[in-house]
Amino acid sequence: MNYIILGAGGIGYHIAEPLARIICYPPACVKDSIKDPILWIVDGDVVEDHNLGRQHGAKAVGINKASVLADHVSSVFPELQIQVIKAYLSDQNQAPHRDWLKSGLTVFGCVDNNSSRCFLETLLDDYDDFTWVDGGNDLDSGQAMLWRRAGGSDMCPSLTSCNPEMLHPTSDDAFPDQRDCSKEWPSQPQLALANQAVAQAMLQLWFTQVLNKPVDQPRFNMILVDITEGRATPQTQYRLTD
Amino acid sequence: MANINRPVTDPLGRTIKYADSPRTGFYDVDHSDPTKWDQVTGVPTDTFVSVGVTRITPSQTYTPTLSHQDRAYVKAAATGGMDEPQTMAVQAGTTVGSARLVYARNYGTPDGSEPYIGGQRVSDSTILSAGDILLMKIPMKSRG
Repeated sequence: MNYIILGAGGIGYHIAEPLARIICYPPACVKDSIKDPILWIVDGDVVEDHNLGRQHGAKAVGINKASVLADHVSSVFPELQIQVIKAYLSDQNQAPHRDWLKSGLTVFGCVDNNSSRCFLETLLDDYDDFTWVDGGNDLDSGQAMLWRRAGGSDMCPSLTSCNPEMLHPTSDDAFPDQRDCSKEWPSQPQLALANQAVAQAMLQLWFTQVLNKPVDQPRFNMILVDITEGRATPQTQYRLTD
Repeated sequence: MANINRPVTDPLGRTIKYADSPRTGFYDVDHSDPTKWDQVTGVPTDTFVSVGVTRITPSQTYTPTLSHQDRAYVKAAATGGMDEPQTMAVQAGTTVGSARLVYARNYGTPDGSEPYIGGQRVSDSTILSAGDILLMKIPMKSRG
Protein backbone atom coordinates (compact mmCIF):
# COMPACT_ATOMS: atom_id res chain seq x y z
CA MET A 1 0.00 0.00 0.00
CA ASN A 2 1.25 3.44 -0.92
CA TYR A 3 1.06 6.21 1.69
CA ILE A 4 2.09 9.56 0.32
CA ILE A 5 3.06 12.72 2.16
CA LEU A 6 2.62 15.32 -0.53
CA GLY A 7 4.54 18.32 0.73
CA ALA A 8 7.26 18.07 3.37
CA GLY A 9 6.86 21.55 4.81
CA GLY A 10 5.15 22.68 7.98
CA ILE A 11 2.29 20.17 8.01
CA GLY A 12 4.17 17.36 6.26
CA TYR A 13 7.02 17.60 8.73
CA HIS A 14 4.66 17.16 11.66
CA ILE A 15 2.63 14.34 10.16
CA ALA A 16 5.52 12.14 9.05
CA GLU A 17 6.66 10.49 12.26
CA PRO A 18 3.24 9.70 13.78
CA LEU A 19 2.02 8.45 10.39
CA ALA A 20 5.06 6.21 10.06
CA ARG A 21 4.41 4.86 13.53
CA ILE A 22 0.83 3.94 12.68
CA ILE A 23 1.66 2.18 9.42
CA CYS A 24 4.69 0.42 10.91
CA TYR A 25 2.97 -0.67 14.10
CA PRO A 26 -0.78 -0.40 13.49
CA PRO A 27 -2.99 -0.77 16.53
CA ALA A 28 -4.87 -4.08 16.62
CA CYS A 29 -8.19 -2.42 15.75
CA VAL A 30 -6.92 -1.31 12.34
CA LYS A 31 -4.26 -3.91 11.64
CA ASP A 32 -6.21 -5.51 8.78
CA SER A 33 -6.44 -2.15 6.98
CA ILE A 34 -2.67 -1.73 6.60
CA LYS A 35 -0.56 -4.16 4.60
CA ASP A 36 2.96 -3.84 3.21
CA PRO A 37 3.16 -0.08 3.65
CA ILE A 38 5.45 2.06 1.51
CA LEU A 39 5.83 5.68 2.58
CA TRP A 40 6.43 8.20 -0.20
CA ILE A 41 7.59 11.69 0.66
CA VAL A 42 7.20 14.21 -2.14
CA ASP A 43 8.52 17.76 -2.29
CA GLY A 44 10.63 19.79 -4.69
CA ASP A 45 11.54 22.48 -2.17
CA VAL A 46 14.68 22.90 -0.10
CA VAL A 47 14.89 23.88 3.56
CA GLU A 48 15.57 27.57 4.09
CA ASP A 49 16.43 29.59 7.17
CA HIS A 50 12.94 31.05 7.40
CA ASN A 51 11.46 27.54 7.66
CA LEU A 52 13.23 26.68 10.89
CA GLY A 53 10.57 28.10 13.18
CA ARG A 54 8.13 25.45 11.94
CA GLN A 55 10.04 22.56 10.40
CA HIS A 56 13.36 20.75 10.09
CA GLY A 57 16.66 21.86 11.69
CA ALA A 58 19.56 24.16 10.93
CA LYS A 59 21.71 21.33 9.54
CA ALA A 60 19.08 20.73 6.85
CA VAL A 61 19.25 24.20 5.31
CA GLY A 62 19.88 23.93 1.60
CA ILE A 63 18.81 20.29 1.38
CA ASN A 64 15.64 18.97 -0.26
CA LYS A 65 12.79 18.81 2.27
CA ALA A 66 11.55 15.39 1.22
CA SER A 67 15.04 13.96 1.49
CA VAL A 68 15.64 15.45 4.96
CA LEU A 69 12.29 14.25 6.23
CA ALA A 70 12.83 10.76 4.83
CA ASP A 71 16.20 10.56 6.59
CA HIS A 72 14.58 11.56 9.87
CA VAL A 73 11.73 9.05 9.60
CA SER A 74 14.15 6.35 8.51
CA SER A 75 16.32 6.96 11.55
CA VAL A 76 13.33 6.26 13.78
CA PHE A 77 11.77 3.48 11.69
CA PRO A 78 14.55 1.84 9.66
CA GLU A 79 12.22 -1.09 8.98
CA LEU A 80 9.85 1.12 6.94
CA GLN A 81 10.28 1.28 3.16
CA ILE A 82 10.50 4.93 2.17
CA GLN A 83 10.64 6.47 -1.29
CA VAL A 84 11.61 10.08 -1.95
CA ILE A 85 10.44 12.21 -4.85
CA LYS A 86 12.36 15.47 -5.05
CA ALA A 87 9.86 17.20 -7.31
CA TYR A 88 6.74 19.29 -7.00
CA LEU A 89 3.49 17.91 -8.34
CA SER A 90 2.14 20.28 -10.95
CA ASP A 91 0.47 20.29 -14.33
CA GLN A 92 3.89 20.78 -15.93
CA ASN A 93 5.68 18.19 -13.82
CA GLN A 94 3.80 14.90 -13.75
CA ALA A 95 6.43 12.41 -14.87
CA PRO A 96 8.24 11.97 -11.52
CA HIS A 97 4.97 11.04 -9.82
CA ARG A 98 3.77 8.12 -11.91
CA ASP A 99 5.09 5.50 -9.50
CA TRP A 100 3.04 6.57 -6.49
CA LEU A 101 -0.13 7.57 -8.32
CA LYS A 102 -1.84 4.19 -8.23
CA SER A 103 -5.25 2.93 -7.25
CA GLY A 104 -5.60 2.22 -3.55
CA LEU A 105 -3.26 4.97 -2.46
CA THR A 106 -3.65 7.11 0.63
CA VAL A 107 -2.35 10.62 0.16
CA PHE A 108 -1.83 13.15 2.90
CA GLY A 109 -2.02 16.50 1.16
CA CYS A 110 0.30 18.91 2.93
CA VAL A 111 0.78 21.40 0.11
CA ASP A 112 0.61 25.16 0.48
CA ASN A 113 -1.54 26.13 -2.48
CA ASN A 114 -4.90 25.40 -4.07
CA SER A 115 -3.52 24.91 -7.57
CA SER A 116 -1.81 21.73 -6.40
CA ARG A 117 -4.95 20.59 -4.57
CA CYS A 118 -7.12 21.08 -7.65
CA PHE A 119 -4.61 19.26 -9.83
CA LEU A 120 -4.37 16.36 -7.39
CA GLU A 121 -8.14 16.10 -7.37
CA THR A 122 -8.16 15.86 -11.17
CA LEU A 123 -5.57 13.08 -11.07
CA LEU A 124 -7.31 11.10 -8.32
CA ASP A 125 -10.63 11.29 -10.12
CA ASP A 126 -9.29 8.71 -12.61
CA TYR A 127 -9.08 6.06 -9.89
CA ASP A 128 -11.74 3.88 -8.26
CA ASP A 129 -10.08 3.52 -4.86
CA PHE A 130 -8.19 6.17 -2.93
CA THR A 131 -8.14 8.20 0.24
CA TRP A 132 -7.08 11.83 0.29
CA VAL A 133 -6.70 13.57 3.62
CA ASP A 134 -5.86 17.20 3.09
CA GLY A 135 -4.59 19.82 5.50
CA GLY A 136 -4.33 23.59 5.31
CA ASN A 137 -3.85 26.43 7.73
CA ASP A 138 -3.09 30.12 8.10
CA LEU A 139 -1.43 31.75 11.08
CA ASP A 140 -3.35 30.05 13.85
CA SER A 141 -6.26 28.04 12.43
CA GLY A 142 -6.93 25.54 9.70
CA GLN A 143 -8.69 22.36 8.72
CA ALA A 144 -8.32 18.72 7.74
CA MET A 145 -10.59 17.46 4.96
CA LEU A 146 -11.31 14.04 3.51
CA TRP A 147 -12.18 12.76 0.06
CA ARG A 148 -12.49 9.00 -0.22
CA ARG A 149 -13.60 6.70 -3.01
CA ALA A 150 -14.05 2.95 -2.65
CA GLY A 151 -15.03 0.57 -5.41
CA GLY A 152 -15.73 3.46 -7.73
CA SER A 153 -18.17 5.16 -5.33
CA ASP A 154 -17.47 8.36 -3.47
CA MET A 155 -17.81 7.80 0.27
CA CYS A 156 -17.82 11.56 0.73
CA PRO A 157 -17.75 14.44 -1.77
CA SER A 158 -14.59 15.84 -3.27
CA LEU A 159 -12.87 18.86 -1.79
CA THR A 160 -13.65 21.26 -4.60
CA SER A 161 -17.30 20.21 -4.75
CA CYS A 162 -17.60 21.26 -1.10
CA ASN A 163 -15.33 24.27 -1.45
CA PRO A 164 -15.80 25.78 -4.90
CA GLU A 165 -13.59 28.73 -4.02
CA MET A 166 -10.63 26.36 -4.42
CA LEU A 167 -11.31 26.29 -8.15
CA HIS A 168 -10.41 29.97 -8.38
CA PRO A 169 -6.95 30.15 -6.81
CA THR A 170 -5.49 33.53 -5.96
CA SER A 171 -2.02 34.56 -7.12
CA ASP A 172 -0.66 33.23 -3.82
CA ASP A 173 -2.15 29.85 -4.67
CA ALA A 174 -0.10 29.18 -7.79
CA PHE A 175 1.86 25.95 -8.24
CA PRO A 176 5.10 26.19 -6.24
CA ASP A 177 7.21 25.69 -9.36
CA GLN A 178 5.40 28.57 -10.99
CA ARG A 179 5.73 31.27 -8.33
CA ASP A 180 8.30 33.16 -6.34
CA CYS A 181 8.47 31.42 -2.97
CA SER A 182 10.61 34.18 -1.49
CA LYS A 183 7.53 36.37 -1.35
CA GLU A 184 5.73 33.94 0.91
CA TRP A 185 7.54 34.99 4.06
CA PRO A 186 6.71 37.00 6.09
CA SER A 187 3.57 38.17 4.26
CA GLN A 188 1.67 35.00 5.17
CA PRO A 189 3.18 33.80 8.44
CA GLN A 190 2.19 30.49 9.99
CA LEU A 191 2.73 29.04 13.42
CA ALA A 192 4.28 25.62 13.96
CA LEU A 193 1.47 25.03 16.43
CA ALA A 194 -1.08 25.47 13.64
CA ASN A 195 0.85 23.09 11.38
CA GLN A 196 1.02 20.57 14.21
CA ALA A 197 -2.67 20.90 15.08
CA VAL A 198 -3.70 20.40 11.44
CA ALA A 199 -1.38 17.39 11.09
CA GLN A 200 -2.95 15.89 14.19
CA ALA A 201 -6.45 16.56 12.83
CA MET A 202 -5.55 14.89 9.53
CA LEU A 203 -4.39 11.76 11.30
CA GLN A 204 -7.49 11.71 13.48
CA LEU A 205 -9.72 12.09 10.44
CA TRP A 206 -7.94 9.27 8.64
CA PHE A 207 -7.79 6.97 11.63
CA THR A 208 -11.37 7.40 12.81
CA GLN A 209 -13.21 7.78 9.49
CA VAL A 210 -11.18 5.55 7.16
CA LEU A 211 -8.94 3.03 8.91
CA ASN A 212 -11.39 2.21 11.64
CA LYS A 213 -14.45 2.00 9.37
CA PRO A 214 -13.27 0.89 5.94
CA VAL A 215 -16.68 0.02 4.51
CA ASP A 216 -18.77 2.85 5.91
CA GLN A 217 -19.41 6.40 4.86
CA PRO A 218 -17.48 8.73 7.12
CA ARG A 219 -19.50 10.22 9.96
CA PHE A 220 -17.72 13.51 9.32
CA ASN A 221 -15.33 14.56 6.60
CA MET A 222 -13.68 17.59 8.11
CA ILE A 223 -12.07 18.77 11.32
CA LEU A 224 -11.68 22.48 11.93
CA VAL A 225 -8.90 23.54 14.28
CA ASP A 226 -8.24 26.86 15.95
CA ILE A 227 -5.33 27.03 18.33
CA THR A 228 -6.37 30.42 19.73
CA GLU A 229 -9.57 28.83 21.01
CA GLY A 230 -8.11 25.40 21.74
CA ARG A 231 -10.69 23.94 19.40
CA ALA A 232 -10.87 20.91 17.09
CA THR A 233 -14.38 20.53 15.68
CA PRO A 234 -15.57 17.63 13.51
CA GLN A 235 -17.92 18.78 10.80
CA THR A 236 -19.68 17.43 7.73
CA GLN A 237 -19.15 19.30 4.50
CA TYR A 238 -21.77 18.97 1.79
CA ARG A 239 -21.55 19.16 -1.94
CA LEU A 240 -22.21 22.67 -3.23
CA THR A 241 -21.53 22.11 -6.91
CA ASP A 242 -23.21 19.78 -9.35
CA MET B 1 -24.74 10.92 -0.09
CA ALA B 2 -26.44 13.51 2.02
CA ASN B 3 -27.03 16.81 0.34
CA ILE B 4 -27.42 20.31 1.60
CA ASN B 5 -31.15 20.35 1.09
CA ARG B 6 -32.03 19.28 4.57
CA PRO B 7 -34.36 20.67 7.23
CA VAL B 8 -33.40 23.88 8.93
CA THR B 9 -34.22 24.47 12.56
CA ASP B 10 -34.64 27.67 14.51
CA PRO B 11 -32.64 28.57 17.64
CA LEU B 12 -35.02 26.51 19.74
CA GLY B 13 -34.59 23.40 17.62
CA ARG B 14 -37.93 23.65 15.85
CA THR B 15 -38.11 22.88 12.18
CA ILE B 16 -38.75 26.02 10.21
CA LYS B 17 -41.88 25.87 8.15
CA TYR B 18 -43.04 28.11 5.44
CA ALA B 19 -45.92 29.49 7.49
CA ASP B 20 -43.46 30.58 10.14
CA SER B 21 -41.11 32.27 7.79
CA PRO B 22 -42.63 34.51 5.18
CA ARG B 23 -40.17 36.04 2.77
CA THR B 24 -40.32 39.34 4.61
CA GLY B 25 -38.61 37.88 7.64
CA PHE B 26 -37.49 34.71 9.22
CA TYR B 27 -38.71 32.78 12.14
CA ASP B 28 -38.42 34.29 15.61
CA VAL B 29 -35.48 36.43 14.70
CA ASP B 30 -35.62 40.15 15.21
CA HIS B 31 -34.52 41.89 12.07
CA SER B 32 -33.72 45.02 14.01
CA ASP B 33 -30.89 43.18 15.74
CA PRO B 34 -28.33 41.97 13.19
CA THR B 35 -26.44 40.07 15.88
CA LYS B 36 -29.30 37.56 15.92
CA TRP B 37 -29.40 36.95 12.21
CA ASP B 38 -27.13 33.95 12.36
CA GLN B 39 -29.10 32.26 15.11
CA VAL B 40 -30.54 29.70 12.78
CA THR B 41 -29.10 26.24 13.08
CA GLY B 42 -28.77 23.59 10.46
CA VAL B 43 -26.04 25.28 8.51
CA PRO B 44 -22.36 24.50 9.06
CA THR B 45 -21.65 27.78 10.80
CA ASP B 46 -17.91 27.34 10.90
CA THR B 47 -17.64 27.33 7.14
CA PHE B 48 -20.59 29.56 6.34
CA VAL B 49 -21.93 32.76 7.70
CA SER B 50 -25.51 33.77 7.20
CA VAL B 51 -26.25 37.20 5.88
CA GLY B 52 -29.70 38.59 6.24
CA VAL B 53 -31.16 41.03 3.77
CA THR B 54 -33.59 43.42 5.34
CA ARG B 55 -34.74 46.59 3.77
CA ILE B 56 -33.81 46.86 0.18
CA THR B 57 -34.62 49.03 -2.75
CA PRO B 58 -33.54 48.75 -6.35
CA SER B 59 -31.25 51.75 -5.98
CA GLN B 60 -29.81 51.21 -2.55
CA THR B 61 -26.17 51.19 -1.71
CA TYR B 62 -25.17 47.64 -0.86
CA THR B 63 -22.61 47.78 1.89
CA PRO B 64 -21.71 44.41 3.34
CA THR B 65 -19.69 44.55 6.51
CA LEU B 66 -18.25 41.95 8.82
CA SER B 67 -19.29 42.61 12.37
CA HIS B 68 -17.06 40.23 14.26
CA GLN B 69 -15.30 36.94 14.00
CA ASP B 70 -17.86 34.65 12.51
CA ARG B 71 -20.93 36.79 12.14
CA ALA B 72 -21.73 38.92 9.19
CA TYR B 73 -24.59 41.06 8.18
CA VAL B 74 -25.63 43.34 5.46
CA LYS B 75 -25.79 46.94 6.41
CA ALA B 76 -28.17 48.34 3.92
CA ALA B 77 -29.07 51.94 3.49
CA ALA B 78 -32.75 51.68 3.02
CA THR B 79 -35.56 53.82 1.94
CA GLY B 80 -38.18 51.11 1.69
CA GLY B 81 -39.99 49.30 4.42
CA MET B 82 -39.80 45.64 5.34
CA ASP B 83 -43.13 44.88 3.80
CA GLU B 84 -42.40 46.43 0.48
CA PRO B 85 -41.70 43.81 -2.19
CA GLN B 86 -38.47 45.35 -3.35
CA THR B 87 -35.72 43.39 -4.98
CA MET B 88 -32.03 43.83 -5.66
CA ALA B 89 -29.38 42.08 -7.66
CA VAL B 90 -26.29 40.65 -5.99
CA GLN B 91 -23.29 39.45 -7.90
CA ALA B 92 -21.79 36.09 -7.18
CA GLY B 93 -18.37 36.62 -5.69
CA THR B 94 -19.48 39.47 -3.45
CA THR B 95 -17.34 39.26 -0.34
CA VAL B 96 -17.99 40.08 3.28
CA GLY B 97 -14.78 40.03 5.24
CA SER B 98 -13.12 36.79 4.26
CA ALA B 99 -16.35 35.18 3.10
CA ARG B 100 -17.48 34.90 -0.47
CA LEU B 101 -21.06 34.75 -1.63
CA VAL B 102 -21.73 31.43 -3.30
CA TYR B 103 -25.34 30.70 -2.45
CA ALA B 104 -28.55 32.43 -1.71
CA ARG B 105 -31.35 30.82 0.13
CA ASN B 106 -34.66 31.78 1.53
CA TYR B 107 -36.94 30.05 3.93
CA GLY B 108 -39.96 28.46 2.41
CA THR B 109 -40.36 26.98 -1.02
CA PRO B 110 -42.43 28.99 -3.46
CA ASP B 111 -45.30 26.56 -3.15
CA GLY B 112 -45.22 26.71 0.61
CA SER B 113 -44.41 23.04 1.15
CA GLU B 114 -40.99 22.48 2.69
CA PRO B 115 -38.25 24.74 3.92
CA TYR B 116 -35.10 24.54 1.93
CA ILE B 117 -31.54 25.71 2.06
CA GLY B 118 -29.01 26.23 -0.64
CA GLY B 119 -31.70 25.88 -3.23
CA GLN B 120 -30.58 28.70 -5.42
CA ARG B 121 -27.15 29.29 -6.81
CA VAL B 122 -26.22 32.93 -6.95
CA SER B 123 -25.43 34.22 -10.38
CA ASP B 124 -24.77 37.68 -11.65
CA SER B 125 -28.47 38.13 -12.23
CA THR B 126 -29.77 36.69 -8.96
CA ILE B 127 -32.55 38.83 -7.56
CA LEU B 128 -32.96 38.84 -3.81
CA SER B 129 -35.92 39.98 -1.82
CA ALA B 130 -36.27 41.30 1.69
CA GLY B 131 -36.05 38.44 4.14
CA ASP B 132 -33.82 36.29 1.97
CA ILE B 133 -30.74 34.90 3.62
CA LEU B 134 -27.43 34.63 1.86
CA LEU B 135 -24.94 31.95 2.69
CA MET B 136 -21.43 33.26 2.53
CA LYS B 137 -18.79 30.56 2.13
CA ILE B 138 -15.65 31.03 4.18
CA PRO B 139 -12.66 29.89 2.11
CA MET B 140 -10.65 27.00 3.47
CA LYS B 141 -7.12 27.74 4.65
CA SER B 142 -4.60 26.86 1.98
CA ARG B 143 -1.10 27.13 3.49
CA GLY B 144 0.83 24.25 4.94
